[in-house]
Amino acid sequence: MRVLIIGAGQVGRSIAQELQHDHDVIVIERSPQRLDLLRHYDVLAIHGNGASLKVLREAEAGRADLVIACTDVDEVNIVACAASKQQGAAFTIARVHDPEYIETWESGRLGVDFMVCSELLTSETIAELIGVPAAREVHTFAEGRILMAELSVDEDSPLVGRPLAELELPRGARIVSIIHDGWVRIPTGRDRIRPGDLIVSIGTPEAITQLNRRASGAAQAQDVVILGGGRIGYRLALTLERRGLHPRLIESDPERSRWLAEQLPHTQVFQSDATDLDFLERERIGEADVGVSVLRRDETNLLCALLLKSLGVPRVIVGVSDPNYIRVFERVGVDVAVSARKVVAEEILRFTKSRIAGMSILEGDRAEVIEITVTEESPLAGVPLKEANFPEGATIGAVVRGKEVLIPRGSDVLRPGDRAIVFARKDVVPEVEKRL
Amino acid sequence: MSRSRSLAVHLRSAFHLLALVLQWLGLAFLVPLGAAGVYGEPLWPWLLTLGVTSALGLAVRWITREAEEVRVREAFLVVGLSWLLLAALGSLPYLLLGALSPLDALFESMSGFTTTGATVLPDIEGQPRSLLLWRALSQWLGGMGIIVLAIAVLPKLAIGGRQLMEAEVPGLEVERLTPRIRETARALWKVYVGLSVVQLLLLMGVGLAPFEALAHTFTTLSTGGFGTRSDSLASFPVPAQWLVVGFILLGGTNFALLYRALRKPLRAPGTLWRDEEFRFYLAVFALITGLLFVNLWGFYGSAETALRHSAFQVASIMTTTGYASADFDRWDPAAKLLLLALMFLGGSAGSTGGSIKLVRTLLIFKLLIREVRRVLHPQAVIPIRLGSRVIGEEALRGVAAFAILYVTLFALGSIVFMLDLQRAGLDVPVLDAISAVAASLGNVGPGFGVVGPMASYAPLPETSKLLLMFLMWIGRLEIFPVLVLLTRDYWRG
Repeated sequence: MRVLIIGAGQVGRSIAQELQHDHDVIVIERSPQRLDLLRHYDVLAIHGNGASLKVLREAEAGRADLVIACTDVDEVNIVACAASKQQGAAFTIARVHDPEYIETWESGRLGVDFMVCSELLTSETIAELIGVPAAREVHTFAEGRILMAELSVDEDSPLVGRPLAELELPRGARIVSIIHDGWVRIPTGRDRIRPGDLIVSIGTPEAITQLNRRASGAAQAQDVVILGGGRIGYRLALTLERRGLHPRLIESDPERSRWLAEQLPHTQVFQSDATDLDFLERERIGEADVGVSVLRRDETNLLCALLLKSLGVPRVIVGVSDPNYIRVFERVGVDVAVSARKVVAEEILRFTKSRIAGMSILEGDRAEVIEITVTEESPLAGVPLKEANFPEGATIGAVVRGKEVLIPRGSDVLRPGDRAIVFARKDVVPEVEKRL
Repeated sequence: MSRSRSLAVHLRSAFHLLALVLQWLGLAFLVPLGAAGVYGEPLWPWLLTLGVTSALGLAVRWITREAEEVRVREAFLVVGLSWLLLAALGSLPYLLLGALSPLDALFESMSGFTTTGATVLPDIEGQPRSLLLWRALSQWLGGMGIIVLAIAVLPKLAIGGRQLMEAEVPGLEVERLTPRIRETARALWKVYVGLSVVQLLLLMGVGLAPFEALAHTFTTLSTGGFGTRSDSLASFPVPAQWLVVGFILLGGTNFALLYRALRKPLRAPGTLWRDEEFRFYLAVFALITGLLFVNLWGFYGSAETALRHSAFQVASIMTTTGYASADFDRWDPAAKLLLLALMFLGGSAGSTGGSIKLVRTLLIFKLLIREVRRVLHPQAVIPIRLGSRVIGEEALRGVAAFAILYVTLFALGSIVFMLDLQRAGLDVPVLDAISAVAASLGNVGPGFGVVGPMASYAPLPETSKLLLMFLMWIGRLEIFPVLVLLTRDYWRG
């Protein structure tokens, strides 16, 4: 596949890195310094403005199977996609920061086949995490009918200690993996969960919520405090308001906080510095169920997150821009770190895997959960699962058949048209794709 | 001439417009002229008034020809003066028919145009019908506003009309129903005229004579309060009293809101209910009616009578109409105090009602609640909303300033009024005296005691009448447009 990436920022580079071995990748970038970072990649780097016709012609945008525009400027991305489409590109994806453009795009395609908004995706991801209190990672599949959650299991959880086969799991959910000390394993009925383990489960949202309650004593979050009223903070508050919550939002800029207060009728907006300890204590921020820090700088976010922890907030979620920080942050005490760039890269990458409709990358990138449609030619179709030779290191978490959601057992048979939500180790993903 | 050149106000253009407005509104005298013809009453006072008005208008227009368009500054002068001049010209018939002395005629006319409804007219039943009709018509014209009417009819006012309308229409701002201000003015008048026709037919339907039905139609939706009987509406049939309650309440509603509701009649209840001021309006009406009902049940002994008088009086005083279905001066002090408090509420913004207006009261409540919350959460950012709309801090400051100014004017007016009564040797109880000031400033009409619903303002000294007239004028225009005229900056630029 011929992939044209416009903009070699963090998102552009991580996509290029992921695709360089299997695809022909061309990258257009305006800044020579950033272009220089691509030296070690197996890609064709072109210097220039991605919205200029001359540069697009030089990159032969018309021949591209996929154009990904992810510069920092929304308008440039949209124009670049439209121009590439005009040239004959097969599929175009534009990344934007401002969610308003999504609405504009939905009303009139603008030559953009798909638009992703990093702020919107990030705020949605954080909102999902708030909804499942024990989750380290949450991802929806099949238009939200299936949820994948990576849950941390408390010491006193009833799930601990007994063989999986003896656990009465909620109907509609499966445990597809147990992660012990960073070691990803697909469990059998004899395996037991140890305290502090992470479990990956796939199922209906209701079942996942029930499983979450058994994994950890944490109740559904009511009092959410958001630090930072930027685009992510604003969108998150809006999403939580729609769920009927009344979040508290702290923003330091007077004008922005006034704007936020006007836009968010059910959110309590405070104009204060997020590190003002007197303020945090006076407003009893420590009594919140969940704290979310989505300030501008990663370092400030870490500081504030740890501050919230020290004040007694049981669960703190941080939005980071640098994906490398995720593990660092989680190591020093942040419960969950969400990287906007990682979320966006995931969303864009699924278009490079022809039949995969959705995907989520787990544990660095050691495992993936993918949504894949079973075809007529699939060797697994029509055979009971226990007799099928499914690759080791992969398991089917759930199957969507029409409007039904099935949690498959050994005797079940896959039919063409079924959408399977599959958990797989990174190395067996291509194999899974082939078998289905 | 050299002095006028140093003025910041363009007097020529202001007077040119003023003359135009007067000339056209002079046509209103055709209505009582027609009535005089029908009832065989003297025609000459009406012809003379019509002639004087038209001649004055024509002369001033000729003197001020080649005038420029009015701007914001001139708008205040035009609005302020047009109400004064109209009151003056409107007083001519009372004078010419020999009903009143010059000052009393001016008082009656001012009370009419400002929809106050305070009267000095003796022996109301004995007056010519054409005069009573004119008295009612002046309230109907003043209710929706003469400038709004002028904008609706006169093509010349299309530009600069917004400033004029802002200066006249009560409330926070003029709600633009259409992109063009002239169409907005017309829409408001359409609702006003339409509802008036409905009320006229309904009143005739419950058995009122056409003359009385028309006169009361003129003074109900305009929240005016002039009647054709000296006992106001006390001797009206019961169904007519209930009917009037309904139309008084409509008169106290925002006409822009009524227009939007009537455009989609099927969804009208939803449109009305979504409006926060309207909900507040109904809640206050229901609450105070309930309180008064409890108070009056024992007094009247019959639940229906007590309920009817409570609902009627609360609607009438709250919307600043000033009708009476009973002599509320005979009620106990608690009930009277309740009515006095109602005089400060007024109708909705954009209605024909006077006083502070419900929307301001509502916003002031919200401001107070915010202050309390601020004590607990000093850094909370709390915008104030009306429905889903955020009200800017600038507008809120205006609301607070207006309320303070209103109460200050009431207090100062009461003191001056009391002193003047004392000077004239009139012994009036404090409650009665302040009721007269509140009723004038709020364009309500009747107060208690000497100025009670079945009594008259006639016994007051002339200086007091002048004071009350000033309060009616400044109250109708919501203080600021008049106050602006009294500042040095306005004239000097």
